[in-house]
Amino acid sequence: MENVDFIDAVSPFRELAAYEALWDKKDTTVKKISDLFSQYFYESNADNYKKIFTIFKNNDFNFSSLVDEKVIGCYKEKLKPFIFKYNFNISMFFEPEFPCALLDSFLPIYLLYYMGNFALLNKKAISVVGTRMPTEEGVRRTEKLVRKLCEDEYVIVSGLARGIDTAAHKTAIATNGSTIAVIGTPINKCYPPENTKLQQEIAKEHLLISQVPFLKYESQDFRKNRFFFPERNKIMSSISEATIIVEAGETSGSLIQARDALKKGKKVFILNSCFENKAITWPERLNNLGAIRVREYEEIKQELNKNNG
Amino acid sequence: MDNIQRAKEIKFQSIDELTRKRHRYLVDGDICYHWRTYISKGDFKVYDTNNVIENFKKELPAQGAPLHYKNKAIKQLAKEFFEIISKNEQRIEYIKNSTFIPIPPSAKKGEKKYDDRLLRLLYTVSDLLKLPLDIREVISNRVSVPPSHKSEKRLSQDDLLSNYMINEDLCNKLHKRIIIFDDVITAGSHYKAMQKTLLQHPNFSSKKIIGFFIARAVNPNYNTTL
Repeated sequence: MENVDFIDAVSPFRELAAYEALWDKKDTTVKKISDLFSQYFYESNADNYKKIFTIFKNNDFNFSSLVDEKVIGCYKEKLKPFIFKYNFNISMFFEPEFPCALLDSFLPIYLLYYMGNFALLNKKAISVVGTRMPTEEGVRRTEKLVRKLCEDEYVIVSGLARGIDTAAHKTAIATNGSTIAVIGTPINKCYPPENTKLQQEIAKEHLLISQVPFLKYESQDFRKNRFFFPERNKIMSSISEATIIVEAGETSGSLIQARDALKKGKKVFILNSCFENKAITWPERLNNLGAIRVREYEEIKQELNKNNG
Repeated sequence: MDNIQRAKEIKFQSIDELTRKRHRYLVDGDICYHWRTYISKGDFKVYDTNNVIENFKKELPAQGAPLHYKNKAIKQLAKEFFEIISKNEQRIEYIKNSTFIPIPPSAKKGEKKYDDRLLRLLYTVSDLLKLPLDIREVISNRVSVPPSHKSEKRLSQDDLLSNYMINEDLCNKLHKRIIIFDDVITAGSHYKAMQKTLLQHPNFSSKKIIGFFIARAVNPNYNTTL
């Protein structure tokens, strides 16, 4: 049947199927997937580069360049229930709208699933993160801080977890600010379940993003899936100008984000109250790595303005 | 930054099973391509694609800065289109064997608001390729209509259909492929009305009619049930 008019264009569904197929191999991690694609763009070894250069000259390199046609067809079938049920979009590395910050990273991200207003990624954004079990004071500090950031037109980035994250998103929404939630589950799932409504509201009026593939997530249990949570913190640090930790325990995912942000040369702010808590040692350690101890919003603002000056 | 430039490359995307349902007039079998993604009601000051397209659509008559931005947008988008096409021989062949028909401007020729931005873009691509592309204004509006991105109520399929007319003089010696060209595809109503109008004409009935767009529009407030 001659119904395909051939120009070698990218078919997003085909690319999504190829991407999910690559993920679906045994022991795949965010790092392995990232490295797999990075070798095509980063001159890590000369031989590979030569090979790739020939691909590049006349044709496009895409996810589907790495997957067998039969396999792609099979994964399209597997994905159909998802694409009919959920109104998500994808953005791929080559697109003009895909954030450069995600490619210019130690762990480049090549595909994002999203719902909502993708333009929010082009605005100045700050991550506000912290513990899932905050004190009342911690929640109050988050609210105050987010209100001030929104007044200064920063988009509030957080991870939709319990505690500080939830307070950050909710305050941004209540203040008529904008917020981006980067989640550690596929775009159709919500964790914790009590945040389902909040996630839906963010998906509709703000921006919800995820890097987590549907099929891989379905096929493995929570012990493996929980590794997606710290990975999403790295996306958050990439898309934010700075990261603020309001309150955090010794094993909080926000510490991963803080270290990642510092490694990327971005600013990290730690609220003074964290230093006063003698039960934890991370504030001093991060402080030694370059994180900035702050007492009030004005100090954060001054530091941020230095960035732009 | 080199690596990023290698990764970032403007490419044609097809509107397929994943994206077609967002353009409610499109049906299975409609072949449409685009290279950017426009956000309906998006904040265009910070979002490059909306910014370029708003400039591209700047209302005429424009003078000074507005006209400057419009011309710049036409040039930039033509260059992008050219870069995609000139990537390989097959694409150039494909374009050579196609007849381009732009969606008619909302204001008619001779009126102050007449805006031939789509034609200008295509002729710029033709210049860049150093190839005489087959570009024809086969369809025009009987009466001027308000620009659809500015009007509150979108015209219905029937309104569009009854307002389109074919210029008989331009319907001969067509290529086997007809490319309907527009800046942004939203619901797809203009594209479908153009396709229907053309297919009613005997010279077009055996042709393959496809759509090229600068961008497809996504609505950020789309129903997002989990």
